This record gives sequence, structure tokens and C-alpha cells, in this order.
Amino acid sequence: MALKRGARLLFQKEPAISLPTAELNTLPQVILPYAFPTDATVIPTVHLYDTVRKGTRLSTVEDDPISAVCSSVTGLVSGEREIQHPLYGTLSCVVIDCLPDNPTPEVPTPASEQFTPEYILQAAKEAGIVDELDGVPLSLKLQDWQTNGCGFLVVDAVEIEPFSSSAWAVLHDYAEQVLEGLRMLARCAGVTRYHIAVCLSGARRRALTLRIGKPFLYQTDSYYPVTDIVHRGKKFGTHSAPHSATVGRVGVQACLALYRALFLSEPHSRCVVTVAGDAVPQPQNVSVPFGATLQQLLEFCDVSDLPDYVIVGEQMTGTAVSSLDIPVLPGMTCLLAFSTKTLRTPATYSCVGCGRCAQSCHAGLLPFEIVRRHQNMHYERLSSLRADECDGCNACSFVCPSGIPLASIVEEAKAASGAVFLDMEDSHA
Amino acid sequence: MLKPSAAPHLRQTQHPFYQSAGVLLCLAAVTGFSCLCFGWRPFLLVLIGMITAVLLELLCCAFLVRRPTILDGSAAVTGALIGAMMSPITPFWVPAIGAAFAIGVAKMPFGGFGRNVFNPAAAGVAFCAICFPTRLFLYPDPSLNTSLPLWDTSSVITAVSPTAQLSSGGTTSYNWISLISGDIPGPIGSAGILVLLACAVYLFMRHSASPLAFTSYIVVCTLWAALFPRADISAATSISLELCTGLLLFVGVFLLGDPITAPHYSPARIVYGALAAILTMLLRHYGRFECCDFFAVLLVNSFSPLLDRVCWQAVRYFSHIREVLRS
Repeated sequence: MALKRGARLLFQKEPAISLPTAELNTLPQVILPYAFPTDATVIPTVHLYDTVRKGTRLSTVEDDPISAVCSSVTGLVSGEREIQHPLYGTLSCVVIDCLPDNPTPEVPTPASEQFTPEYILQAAKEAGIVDELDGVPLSLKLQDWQTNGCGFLVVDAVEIEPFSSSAWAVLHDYAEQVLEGLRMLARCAGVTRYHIAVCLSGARRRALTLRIGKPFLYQTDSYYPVTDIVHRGKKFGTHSAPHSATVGRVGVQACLALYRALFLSEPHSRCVVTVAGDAVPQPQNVSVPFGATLQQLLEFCDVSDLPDYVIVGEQMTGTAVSSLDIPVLPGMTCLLAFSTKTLRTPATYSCVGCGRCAQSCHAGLLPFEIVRRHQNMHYERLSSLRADECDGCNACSFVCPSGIPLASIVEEAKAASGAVFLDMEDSHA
Repeated sequence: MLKPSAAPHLRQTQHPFYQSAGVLLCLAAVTGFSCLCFGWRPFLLVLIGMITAVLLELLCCAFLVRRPTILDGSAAVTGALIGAMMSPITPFWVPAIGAAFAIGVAKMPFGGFGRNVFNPAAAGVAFCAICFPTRLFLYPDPSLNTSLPLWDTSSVITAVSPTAQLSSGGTTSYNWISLISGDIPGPIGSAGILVLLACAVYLFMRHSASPLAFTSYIVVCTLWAALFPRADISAATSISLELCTGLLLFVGVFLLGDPITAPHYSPARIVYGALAAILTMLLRHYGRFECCDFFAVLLVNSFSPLLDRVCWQAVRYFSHIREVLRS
């Protein structure tokens, strides 16, 4: 039996996880990027005072069609601006004033048998689906799996961090559609083994099992960060992956978007975001069109006063923002607003040697030793401690009773490893 | 205006006094148990150790132009530990000297709390044991059940401790009940095995001490005592005498479990405890002093960083082999 590594986080998903998903539909305007960051040349296809329909491509990107973004609303282009986005960096954006949308005509539901791998890949490209787990276009992932092979496909709905419950909200409302989307993904990638990984309480897990079937559900352990999202070895037959098999991860919302793109011909225009934190009177999951600003989202959740802290992402890895004029884009699944009562800059004390950082490190590193050597400037000895294997999950910083920012120091150590000696050689040369 | 914050945004930070408070509470229980047998003298010895350690740390902080660190409680813990490792009839100036040595030599020159290489309390008592052995290893007879005089202890009836009897190769007349109830001559901290075990459980639950180091220490000591008894006695008697007399259990709970000087990596703590046990038993067999457990702690303290690295590399090496065999 393997030793459990990781941090135990106190779940604070209630009441958002129990409430139905709210819909944010009436917006005065949205801010959308012309394209996601790319090295290719971006040529805007919409201009000032143009009217755009929902699903219209905002730009063409030379040699890189999957970086282009579709409009999430019907409206009038009223301006252009540049924004600094916490997930994507500097983005050149278009401002669209929303207009009432005409109801889309009913599309006859096609039979799933007619979807070939090429057709599915094309649909993912055209709908502009972006995986919320890592902000990578789904079509890129599909191409990678087709080219390099994939042994097992997992919909990662684990949400091990304390506040977010957006994946659960989507699964609760559209479990069958998500599973169908996963089947289509597996068909496109040529994978025969797949499941949905969750970390749910007994009652919620049983309810979900009844809807999608036990073989398609995998309950992970509850230590942060979750690294095993699939059974390994032969014990579980076709529901497990061989030790050497590559596991492909995809988000719940990307699967649902693929289902909608294939069966309803809808573009990827919305996402579900968990809005929580002590500054939010009613924490809930909200379905938001891409391009809605954080200000609009917080106002929708009855946050009247400006909170002290707003964090895009979760407690462990999220980014604090300095402005609320930032659009919601794919990859954003949680928004936290805190007051100084809950969140304040932690005091830092000397290391008491408790060893919790080493116990919580899922990569099996010694954060305390890396920090000690880095602070003592023993850079030449850092390489043997494999600081480069740190993935920045921040579990060590979270569990440290002395409040030492271990993860950020390990990150510095990664960068500093051997640098001093390289510099010396350079200067001698 | 939104404020900046670095991930992780909420943390499990604790003031260091949280750890120290748990240890002080346990030491109060151990001292209280000794006070039941000997009156107020053990309490005063512990108090003098604490006051000296705290005052000296204040003085060192002032001398080094540094923010006072007494609020973390580590100085008080060091002083109290030194007091608790003394005999109840030790003169009051001995724990004061021990505490001064601990803070002034073993702690502050290394950078203070969290940076000391050797356990300051073990260093302080070791210094006293070398300088004043006759003051440290002379114990009152607890079977008389009389309160000790506070100042003049020359008239107190003393008794030979079971550890001294074993060191000289003789057998002891103490039975199981007197060993467990603490009705044997010994230092303040050796009284009350059950109290010490309760303290150990409490400290482990608070994460103030390492259960891994303690467990491996006790297991190896037990095995050693069973295999190599110091006198012509049965294995069971040897185990009970070795574990329940002297400072073995006290050192295992309070000094060996000190997270600052012990290895931080869990598997290394197991090796650390085992190494400390081997050194303790070797010193008990061949050492100069009847109570030498703190010397073993000082010796293994110097191996802590090495044990961390070696054990970590060994674990990674075996994990790698396991992965290769699996695939």
C-alpha cells in the first residue's frame, strides 16, 4: 500500500454545491479577445459598429485556426481595448454591446453513429472549444492524442480544492450529455477505455452512479493534489489503465461543449463559474457567457461593496487580480471574493522542523531542504534535490505552520539551480 | 482598491507558541506528579530553569539587536526541560547554569529558535552532568514519602537508583508496581511512567513531537534490553528496568521528538530513533554516567541532516526500482 501524500483541505463547497446553477443572461456588453495568445498573425474579421451574431469568428489567425475566438453573444462592436488577463496575459480585445438574440431554429438531432473522428475534430475546431482544465483548445488535444496515442481518457471532475463545484454543477445538470461527449472524444482519439473521475460524498456519488453507470465513474482519494485519477494495473480489467499507458485529461465543460457542438450545433460560448468566498452573500454556480466581466459576475451574485481580495481560480493556485474589468474566459471555473477578516497576509516564523511539507509533497521532494540550501546559497547542491520536479501545487506552503512560502522559494530554487556557477564561468570567459 | 495576495491564499499557519504550550503543559503534569512525592522543590527547580532561560534569551536578543523571541515559548520549554531532568535535591543554581549554557552556547549562537543544530536542553543537562555529576545523580528516597526541604537538602535520605544498580552489574529490588507508579529514585522527569505515556500521546496528537522517532526508539531499546541485559536478570525484568528507569522515556518523548533538531523526513525519523536507541543503550552499558540518554540525543542530532538526505535518496531509489519493475 502506498503512503498517502498531500494535504487535507477543508471543503467549503456548501451552499454553492446544493443550489441550482444560476444563469447570467442580460449583459450590457462583453469583452472578448480576438484570439488566444499565438505566434501567428491575427487579422480581425469584425470592425467597429459591425453587428455580430453569436458564434461569429472575431478574427482569422494565419496557420492557426484554433486560436480564433467566436462571439458569445449577438451584439454591436463598440470598441477595442487591450487587457491584462490573469490566465492568458496581454490580450487584444473587442467590446461588444449586447443586443437581443433571436431564438435559434431547432436543429434535428443527428445520430451519433454518423460522427467520424475527422468530423468530431472539425466540430471541436469550429465551435472554438477550449478545455477549462488548462486553457488548451480541445482540437489541439485531440490531434495530440491521435498522433501520439492515448491509453485512457478521463474527464477530470475531481475538484479537490475547497470552494469550486462548477464541475459538479455541470455533471448534476448534464451527466448523460457529458458522458456522450466523452464517448465522442474517445471515438475521435481512438481510445476504448474512459471514465469520469470525481471526489464526491456518498449520496451525490450514488445519485450520479444511477444516472451514468458504475463503470464510468471513478472515485479518487481526497488528498490535495489528486494525482491518481485512474486505476493503474490489471486489477480492474477494462476500467483501468496499464502502468505505461498515457492518460488524457479533459474537463467536464469541454465534454459538454463538444456534445452541444455535435448534436445542437452550438458554439462554445458559456462556462459555469463557482462564485464563493466570505464577501459573497450567496455563493453559487453561475453559467456565464464568455466576455462577461468579473464586476458583472460579482454584481449578479449580490456583491455590492468592493471586496478586499478577488481571486481568479481556487484557493491553492488562483491568482489575485487588481481590477474587476477582466472578462470571464475558458479556463476560469472559480471566482473567490474575500474580506480581510478571512484572508490576510500570513505572519512568517522560523521553520519548526515539523516535516509536514515533505509529507504533503506528492512529488516526494524535501521542500524544507531545498529552501534551506537556497537560503544558504548552496546552489551547487540544489540539483540533487530535484527541485525541477516541483509542479507548483502549493501544498507545502499551505500546510507549513510557520507560514513560510515554500512553494515560491522552491520555484526560485528551480531557476537558481547552478545559475551562480554559470554566471561565474561567463564572467571568467 | 483590491489587495494583492499570493497563492495559497488561505493557510494553516500556527504561532510557534502553540507547539511550546503543549510541551509546557506536559512538563507541568510531569513536574506536578513529582511534586506529589517531594513537595514544592521540583516545581521550583523547573521554574528557575525557565526563568533563567527566558532572561538569558532576552539578554542575547538585546545584545544581538534582535526582536525578542521569548513569545515563541521555546526558551521557557528549554529551561523547563532542564529543570525536569535534574534530581529533586539538586541545588537551585545547577538548573540555572544548565539553562544559561543551553541558551547562551547551544541555541543563540546558532541563530536562535528553529536554527539550532543540537537540542539546547540536552546540551544544558549534558554540561551540568559533566561539571556537577554528584549534584545531578543523587536522588532522594521516594518511599519515605516526605516533603523535601526547600534550601538545605544535606539531611535528605538518599537512595541508589535502579539505573546505578544496573550500571554496577547488580540486581534491583524494585517491582513492576513501583516502576510504573514512579516510586523509585530518579530525576524529576522519570517519575510516573503513565504520566509520560499520556504526555506522549497528547504531544503526538498535537503534532508537537514525532511518534515515528519515539516508537522506533522504544522498540530498539526494548529489543536491546531483551537481548543484552546488563545484569543476571530475565529479559522481561531487563526490559522493564531499562524502559521505566532513568530518563529513557522522558528523553524519548521530549528531546527526541523535538522537531527542530530531529530529521524532518518521516523515514529518516525512524532511523534517527533507532540510532538514538542504540547509542543510548551503548552509553548505558559502557558510559561513565548512570543517566546518559541526553548524550545520545546530542550525538544523533548531528546526524539529522545526513539522515534526511540519505533516507530520501534511498526511498526515491526504491520507488524508481518499483516503477521499473511494474512497467
